[in-house]
Formats: sequence, structure tokens, C-alpha cells
Amino acid sequence: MIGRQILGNIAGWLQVVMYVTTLGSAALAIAVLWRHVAHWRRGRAEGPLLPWQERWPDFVRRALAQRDIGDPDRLAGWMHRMIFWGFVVLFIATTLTAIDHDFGLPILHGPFYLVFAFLSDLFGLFFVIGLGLALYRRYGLRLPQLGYRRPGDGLILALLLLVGLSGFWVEGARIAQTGWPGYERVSFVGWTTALVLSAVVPSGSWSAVHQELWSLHVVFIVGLFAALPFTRLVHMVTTPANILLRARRLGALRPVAAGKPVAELEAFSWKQLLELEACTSCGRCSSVCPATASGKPLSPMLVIQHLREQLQGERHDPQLIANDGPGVIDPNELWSCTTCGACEEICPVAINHIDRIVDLRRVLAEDGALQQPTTRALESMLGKGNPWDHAPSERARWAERLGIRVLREGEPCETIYWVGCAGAFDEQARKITEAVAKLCKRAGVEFGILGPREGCTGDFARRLGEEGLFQTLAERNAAAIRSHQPKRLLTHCPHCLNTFVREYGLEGIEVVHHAAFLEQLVAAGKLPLTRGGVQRVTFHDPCYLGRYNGIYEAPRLALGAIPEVELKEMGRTRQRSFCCGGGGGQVLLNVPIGERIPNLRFAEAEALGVDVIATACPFCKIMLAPVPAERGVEGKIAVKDVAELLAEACV
Amino acid sequence: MQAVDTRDIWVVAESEGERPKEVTLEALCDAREQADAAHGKVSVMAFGAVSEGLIAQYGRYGAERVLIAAGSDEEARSAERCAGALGGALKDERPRLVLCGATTLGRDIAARVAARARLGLANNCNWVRLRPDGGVEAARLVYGGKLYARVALTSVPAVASLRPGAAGVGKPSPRQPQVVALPPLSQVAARVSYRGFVPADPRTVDIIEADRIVAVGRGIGSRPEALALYEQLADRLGASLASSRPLVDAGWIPFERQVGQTGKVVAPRLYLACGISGASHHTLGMKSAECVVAVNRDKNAEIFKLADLKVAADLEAVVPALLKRLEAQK
Amino acid sequence: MSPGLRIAVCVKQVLDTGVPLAVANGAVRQEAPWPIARVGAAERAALEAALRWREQMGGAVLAVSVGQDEAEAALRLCLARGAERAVHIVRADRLDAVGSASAVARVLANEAVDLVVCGGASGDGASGLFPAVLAAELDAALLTAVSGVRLEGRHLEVERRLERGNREQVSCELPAVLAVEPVLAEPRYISVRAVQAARERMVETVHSSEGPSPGYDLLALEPAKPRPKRVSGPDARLSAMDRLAHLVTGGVQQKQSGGFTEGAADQVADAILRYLQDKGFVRGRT
Repeated sequence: MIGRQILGNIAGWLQVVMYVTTLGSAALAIAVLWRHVAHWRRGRAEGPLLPWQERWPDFVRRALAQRDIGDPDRLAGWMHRMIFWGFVVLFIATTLTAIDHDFGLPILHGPFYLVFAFLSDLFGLFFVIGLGLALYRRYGLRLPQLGYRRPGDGLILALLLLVGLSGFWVEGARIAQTGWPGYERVSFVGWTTALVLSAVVPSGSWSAVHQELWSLHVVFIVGLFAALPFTRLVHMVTTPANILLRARRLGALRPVAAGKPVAELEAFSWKQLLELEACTSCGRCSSVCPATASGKPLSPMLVIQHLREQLQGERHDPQLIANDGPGVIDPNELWSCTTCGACEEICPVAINHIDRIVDLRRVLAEDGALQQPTTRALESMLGKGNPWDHAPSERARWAERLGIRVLREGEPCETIYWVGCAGAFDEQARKITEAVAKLCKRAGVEFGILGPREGCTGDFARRLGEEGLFQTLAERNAAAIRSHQPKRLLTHCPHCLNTFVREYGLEGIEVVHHAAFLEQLVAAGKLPLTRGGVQRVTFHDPCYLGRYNGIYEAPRLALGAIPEVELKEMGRTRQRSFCCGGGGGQVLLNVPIGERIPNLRFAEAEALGVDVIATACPFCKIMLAPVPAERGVEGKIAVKDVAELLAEACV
Repeated sequence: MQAVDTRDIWVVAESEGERPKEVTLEALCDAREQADAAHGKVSVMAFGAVSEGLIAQYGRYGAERVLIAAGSDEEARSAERCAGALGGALKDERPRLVLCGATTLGRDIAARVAARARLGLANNCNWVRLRPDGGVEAARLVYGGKLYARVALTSVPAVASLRPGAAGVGKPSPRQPQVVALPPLSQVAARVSYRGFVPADPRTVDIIEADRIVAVGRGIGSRPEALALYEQLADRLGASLASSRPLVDAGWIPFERQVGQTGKVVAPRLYLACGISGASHHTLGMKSAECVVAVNRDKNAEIFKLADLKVAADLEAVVPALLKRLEAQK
Repeated sequence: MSPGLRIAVCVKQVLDTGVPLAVANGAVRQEAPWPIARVGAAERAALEAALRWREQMGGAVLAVSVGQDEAEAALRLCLARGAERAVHIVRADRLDAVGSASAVARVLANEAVDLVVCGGASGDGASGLFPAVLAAELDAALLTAVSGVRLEGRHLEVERRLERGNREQVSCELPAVLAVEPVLAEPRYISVRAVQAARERMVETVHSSEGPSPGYDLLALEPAKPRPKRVSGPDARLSAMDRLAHLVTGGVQQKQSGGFTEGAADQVADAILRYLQDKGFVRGRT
């Protein structure tokens, strides 16, 4: 009869020992894991979670299909799937075995057993292969992003592997011990193991060998359970929980709590504390971080991990931020961040690094621990409504020359062109403004600008941690905008776009980015693009346009419509675009460490062989435009906005 | 207001070595003009070591009398002592107007004297006038120099300080001045004791305070060795070296010397911009410079909008030539 | 009396002069969509220094401001930064330094203040009278252009900022009034929320009805314009056109006009040298 002998060869006392030790160590593991809950409960309340319609499919994708682990490192993806699904299937198999034995339900019999046996062997093999790959990546290839070691890394991999291997050894011994039943050939790994074992094991001693191997297997399992909660394998619990309980999306920062922000673990939410333990220190975030790439002190993974160490008591720094004394995180780590979102985009377990960094920046800002030139810029934003000390009356100078309508107070206007600070005051960005104005005129689009009554939207202020300044600016601007009852707000700046859409609450007003707007005009035939000129162009996806707001195709379509343009793609493109280095308030900060980030991005474009780097953000242009001259290729490669290129092509 | 008899004007003099400061001569010329029209006398109040040469200069520009409170250079730099001496002299004699140059010291003396004796003070004036009826009117700069406050000074004496460069030095109006020795500065009761003088070293002074700046930009060349020429130029001009952002980013120049939006805001009397394009994030840091000389090959460079002397030429040729001439001046 | 130093900081919020100003109906009007005002850099430094001295020596910092709503705003800033007390002297006339100083002196005399710190000359009136009147009425030593201070009990070692980056070292005993330079202390950033939180703190109010300054009558406020400058005669070395221009413009060179200096390197270098001599940066011309 086809079926499985369960514990048949194992002495009664050994079975007792097995039950006691495995259940005991499992209980211990759970108890220790429960202590982690106490860690999380130190945090304050989290806001509402994301809608379940969003969270559950995301959970399936991340936790079950594990798509994110394999993007872009496909080997890692398969490795982890094998380990994960191997473990899951083996766990189910063991559970079914236990149910069969302990509750007397004859599950593992008949045809079902054949399927069961085959699948358990197959997934057991996957499990072992996956673990072999893991050990190879960590200790053979020694991949740099795996450099961060945690207690028991090697031990846990070894134990898992040994559990898997010893499982096969036990199976092989059992097959031999039960007399080589023919149907057990479906357990192909076990059968092969049995054949191998039979080469060394004398035929009479199978019973003893089986029992010994079985005991060894139990020892490994108990060891695994005991070690599990003290190692990164805790992520078995924390990571799926973190994915399922998602509360934040890239784009809007969490609102600030009442009172003065303090740098303490208790100031984070329970979700943020859980997140610290959900991080498996895979290092993907740091591998795509522009600050890390340019040699700045920031490594997003280390920010999370160092906080975890503080939370779990692996380190005991007197304060979270190293201000006048040792601390977990150095202020320069915080100030190096460009908030580009590459870390959050690539993180397989949905960690929100940016919220964390800005939360800590808020502490520094409220404490007044800011330096020049940042303080001057912030004071200028509050007083004059722009970071560069220009009088508001200067904002519309460019418009006077072009005869653009500057709205008077209360004048209704359907389309407001929000010029922004860069577009009004910076030479490079002003060319974008003029190009957009010219194109709108050509297409017969009527619009007005607020002129002196425009103030900085406050994106940089907010990301630098000055929440009060942001609120003041937002209130001022929102009132000014609403007073004209616009239907549409057109902007060429993705930072303005993002903050209008996600952080202002301008109901009933459509906020549109100029690349999308102009592309629509081109598609509708309102902007005939007749003048060409052979140009190899690559589009640099601005972080706040692409990752933050999902706009990738519109600028490409617009560029593609220009005659004779050959559009090439850099390696790091779309969601994986590499930041220009200007976001997160970087334009107003001074962190003079390492290479300049725009130089890195420029080198990538240069290597591609292009004549023009096209951008769709004034700050990308401001950051990248001086680089050709610095590298001595001025005249060979130009940095231009999509609007400028369209304007050049449009007669 | 009672009728005011005196039409005399006192001018508080400052000097640099053997020469009166230009603003002192400007004030003296103004005083001479006003006094001539109103039939008053002009006296100069001088502090410290006042040589025959200086007295002659004061006489040359119209002083009928020179009152001297003698003392050392340090004592002459003490506004407390000078104001004390001046206040003492004003107890004995009351001119209609006491006119100082609006230098740091001059304004200080004026304020102290006016505060102690409760006199009307107009500091930082573009002009001060004696009216025929004996009244004193002045136009002083307020709100950062954007507006005038036109004021009438009714105390006798009234105190005012004249901005350097507003009036200009006129033609001499020679007199043979009478010299009066006042009690020396050392006899003035002073609470503040002098300890020492630390001259600025243009090489190390913070560029925010630098009187003169030679600023370099990317246009000076592609090799850091090019800097040496500009360091020499700065040395020769007694200027501090500063830079726009690119050279600081490239590591040639320390961040403390960066002028601009992310660097420092400077307000020197002389700003010599070499090879700087003048993008707004740079000019933001130097637009308060008094005299801007810009040297750049590109006539369209934005820096020329701010320049008093616009030099469209090649730095590599011009700067060595300029250096040669400056060496010859030594 | 609490131990340590009793320090008073005098602050004032003035219209930002970086923004165009006009005169309308005898009053100053700012051309801006919202009022743009600030506490001056010297006063911010004064506040910062006072707080650091308090940390060093113990004691208390009292912030004082004269005016109306703008004085409130200046005081909230001081409270947010950490001043213990704030006194608002309500008074209408903004440009009257003497009256303001007298009113402040009366308040401070009651407070037995050891040290008063203020800016040298404010962003609006800029008479320099405020610290002088304060020192006269409080019978305290007056130090101006202060760029560095070392406190040794009741003895002050002070560094003063002279022209062109030079420094003078002086000393005196308390009580003293210090008119300071921005370079004295780098002010700590004060966040908007901190200032908003300071709204909870109490500000003491005193009304002042001092008369106008003695000997000083404000006749009118007008846009500034340069006066015709005397010339001792046009420079014979200039070309005829230049000499004419020199006479017509009174020698005042406008930044907007003026053409390019170009040509051979020697010519250009000569022109630059002449300019430097004209302006007095290089010797060689009388």
C-alpha cells in the first residue's frame, strides 16, 4: 500500500525528546519574537493604512511572487523564491505529516502521497539549491552590498542548509530502512540519497543509521528555531507584516506631529519601528542611491540598520542624531539625501527611507541645527518667497518683455502658468519658461501668471524639515491660486507639481506638467514641429516626475515628434533613473563631500554618445547644465529642457 | 524757537597719516560754502597727532581756526575720547552746526556727542544746509539708502555727518588758520581702555570683511597653476582672493572663499572679477561691491551688467600686463 | 536678584530694504505682495551672543523692542530662541531713536541690567543714536562695532571691527552697552514653528508717550537721489567726450552706461590701472 511510514523506526523516548525540544524551541522562538512586538509598541500611532485594494495585490506581488527581489538581480530573485517556496512547501509537508501521525488522519496515502512525495522532494531540492546560491553570493562572490553583517548570518544559512540536507539524508535512510518501496522512486532526491548512502552504510545497520540521521535532523531543526529570532531570519515574520501593513506612498511626506520633534525611537510610529526589523539589509537601496554612489556619508540601508541596532539594543548610543556628541546617525548622512526615491522604488519590502530621513531632518531644523547657506535660503523663502533673496517684484521681469498677462488680484483665469522660483530667477531655467510661453502662444493657449504674488511652493522647505515654513508658504500660495478660480495649473517644475498634487489639496484644479501638456498639443496638431536637425537625444527622467508621479512616456512622445531626433535610453532610465542631485533641498545645501552627483549622471549620458541631454525639470537643468563646460565638452553636449527643444523645432 | 545768532560751523576732521581724509575735505568745502553764504566762521576740530602739514591742508580748504585735542593715534581712534573732547569744547562755545564725515568713527563721535548733550543729530547725510534764517536742514539716508529723510535740526549746535563721496571736494579757499590747543585726549574721562590694534591681513581676513577682492572664475584657465598669477595680483593690490563656485567645486579654492548664493555675501570697496561669467547665483554674493571691475573674454557675460569697468579682453594677456604696472608703482 | 548676568537685548523688526520702497502720503510703502520685514543681522547676532553669555555665566536674557505689531514679531523671535522675558514698549514713532532709547533706558534702569546688547544702526533709521542715548541715560560704558567679546566676571575684553577688516582690542567694566556687528555670533536658525509656539509665551507691555527727539524735526520722507557732486575740474588726460561726460554727470559713473574697455593688452592694462588710481586703490594720482 502506498503510504508513508512516520516515525516508525524512531524509539519512543526519542520521539518524546523530539516533541519536547522542537515544540520547546518553537515556543521559545515565538516568545522571543513576541518581544519584538514590544519594540514596535514603543512607537506612536501610525496614520491610516493604504486601502486594502492596494495592499493585498501588492502583498501577493512582493511577498508571494517576490517579483521585486528579482528586479534587476534575476539570480537573487530565483534564489530567494527557491528558498522561500522550498521552505513553505517543506513546512506544509511536515505539518501534514504531523497531522497524519498525531491526529490519525490518513493523508499521506495513495496517489496523493505520490504527488506529495514528489513535490516535497522537488521543493526540497529547490530549497537546498537556493541556499547554496545564497552561501555562494555571500561568501563566494562576496557581493559588496552584502557587506553588512548581522549576528548569525552564516549560522542561519548553514542551519537551513543542514536542515534541508539532513532531511534528504533521513529520507534516504528511511527509504532504505523501509525496504526500498518502489513507489518511493517519485521521491527522486531521497531515492538517490539512499543509493549514495547504501555505498557506505552496511545493510544491517539501516535502522540505527536512520535513527541517528533523524536525531541529527531534529538537532538542526531545534538549532534553527533557537537561532531564528536572534538573526535576520526574523524577517520571515516582520517582512510580510511590513508589506501587508503599508501606510505610505512615495510623494507626500507624513504630516508632522504636534509639539517639538525629538530624535527618539518613541517618536517614530510603530510601523516605522516594525520597518526597521523588516529590513533584511539586502543593500539594494544603497546600490542605487546617488549619495552613496558619489561618496557621501549616506547609505540608506545603514540608516535603517543602525536604527534597528539601537532599537534592538545591539548599540547603545546616547542619542539618535550625532549632534555635539556620538549618536546613531551623523547629520551629514541626513543632509546628503536628495529624496530621489530610488531606494524606496527598489526596496522589495516596502521600506520608506525618505520619511525617516525627513523626520530626523525635522528634528535638526526645529533645533536650529542648520548651517549657511541653508539658513539664508530658508529665511529668504519666508520673507521674500524665494530662496535667493530676490524681491518679489522681480518675478515677472521676463514676462514684461514677452507681453505675458500678469494677473491682478481676484482676476479670474482658466489656466495659470505657475512659473516657480527657478523659472523666474535662474538664467538656465528662465529659458524653459520662455520656451513654454512661446509654445503656448503658438498653440493659442491663453494663460496668466501670478507674478509677484507667486511664492516658493515650499517643496524644498518641507524636505529640509522646515514644516512650519512649508505650511506658511502653502497657505499663502493656495489662497493666491484659488483667488483666480483656475481650472488648470500648468507648471514646468516637477517639484511644484508634486507638492501641488499631493501636499496642497487644490480640489477641482487640474495640475499638469508642461511635458504632458505640450505633448498633448503636439498630438493635437497645435504645435507643428517642422524644424529639425540631426540630434541624438537622451531623456533624463526627473525623479519627481517619473518615480514620484509616474510620468515617463509623455516627454518621450514629445521628443519623438521632433523631426530627425534619435532618442536613446541610458541604462538607468524610467523608474531606475539616476538623480541629478538637486532634489531634497540639495540646491540649498552644502555637503562638500565626494563627487558631485550631476557629474556621475552626465558621465552616463556622455558614454551613451548623445548631443543633447533632455530634461523636464528646471533643477535637473540647473544641476546638469554646467557640467559640459567643467568637463571640457561644452558645445559637444548640451543640456536642454523638452520645452526648449520643442520651441526650437516649432517655427 | 528763539533767534539763533551764530552761523559758525565746526568740522570734525579725520586724517590718514599726513593727509586729511577725503570726506573731511568734502565736509570742509561744504562748511566753507555754507559759512560764506551766511557770514559765519569755519573751525576744524582735529584729534591726535596733528602736524603742521595737516593744519595747512585744513587752512587751504577754508578753515579759519583749527582746534586741536592732542593725543596718540590710539587715543584719536577712540570715539569716546574724541566725543568727550568735542563735548567739552562745545560747553564753552556753541557753533550752529558740527559737521563730521560719516565714517565709522565720525558717526560714532557724532552720536555720542549728540546723546550726551541732547542735541539734534542727522547721521549719514547727502547734504546739510544752513538756511538764511539760521535753521539747519539736512537730507539723510534711511531705509538702507533707499529713501531720504529731510529733517530740520533745531538744537544749537546741531550735529550732522556727511556721507563720503556725496559732496565732492571743491576748489581750495585758502586761509591762514588760527591754532587753538584744547585739553589733550588723555585728560578725557574714558571708561574704555585701549588694548591693541590688529591689522587685517588680506590673505587671511574673512572675505565678508575684505576691503578689496580679486575673484576668480572658470575663465582663468583649466589648470590650478593658473591661480598663482591671481594670488600675486591680490597680494599686489592688498586684496583677498575669492572665487565663484566652479573652482571651489573643483577643489582649487577652499569653500570659505566662495562668493555667491551657496557661499558668502561680500561688500568690498573693490571687486575685481576675473573670468567670472556672472550667473545670478554668483552676483547675489557680490552685488553690494562698490567698484566692480570685470574682465572676461565674452562680451555677453552677465557680470558686465554689474561692472563699473567692463574689460572685454583676454585674461592671460591683460593680467600679467597689469601686474607689471602695479610692480612699477611700488 | 538671581545670580549671573542680567543681559538685555534690544531688537527691532524693520522693513527689508532689499525690496523696493516708495513714499506715499508721507509714509513708507513697500512694493511687495505681503509685508517683508526682518530683524537685522546685527540684532540677531546680539541675541545669539547674549544667550551664549547666559549659558556661560548664568543669569537671564531680557528682550526689548519698541514699536507696534512689528515689535511683537521681533520679541516672539527672541522668546523662541530662548530669552526668558520679553518687554514690548508700545510706541508709534518708528524712526525716533532718541525717544525709543529713552523709553528703553527707563525700563532697563528698573531691571538693574548689567549688559545691554543691540545692533549698531538699524535697517530703517540707522542714526546710531540708540546705543549712544542708552549708554548716556544708563551711565554705562558704550562700545560700538563690537565683533568679539570675552567676559571675565564684570570685566569685558572686547574686539572692535574697524574698517577694512582691521580690529581693535579694548576693555572696560560692566555696566556696558554694546552695539554689535553681525560677525559677533552666527545666529542659530529659528524655525517658523518655534516662533509660532512662542505665541504662547507672555510678552510684557509698557506704553510710552515720550515726546519727539530734541532738536530733530522730520520734515518729509522722499525717494533718495544723489546730489550734484562738486568737481575740482575734469581730468585733462581724458578724451574730450569723456571730459564732457564727466562734467555733465558730475563725474558720477552710472553702472548701466559705459562701454567696454578693449584693445591691446597694454592699453587695457593701462585703463585698468587708471581706474584703480582714480578710485584710490592704487597710488599714483593725486
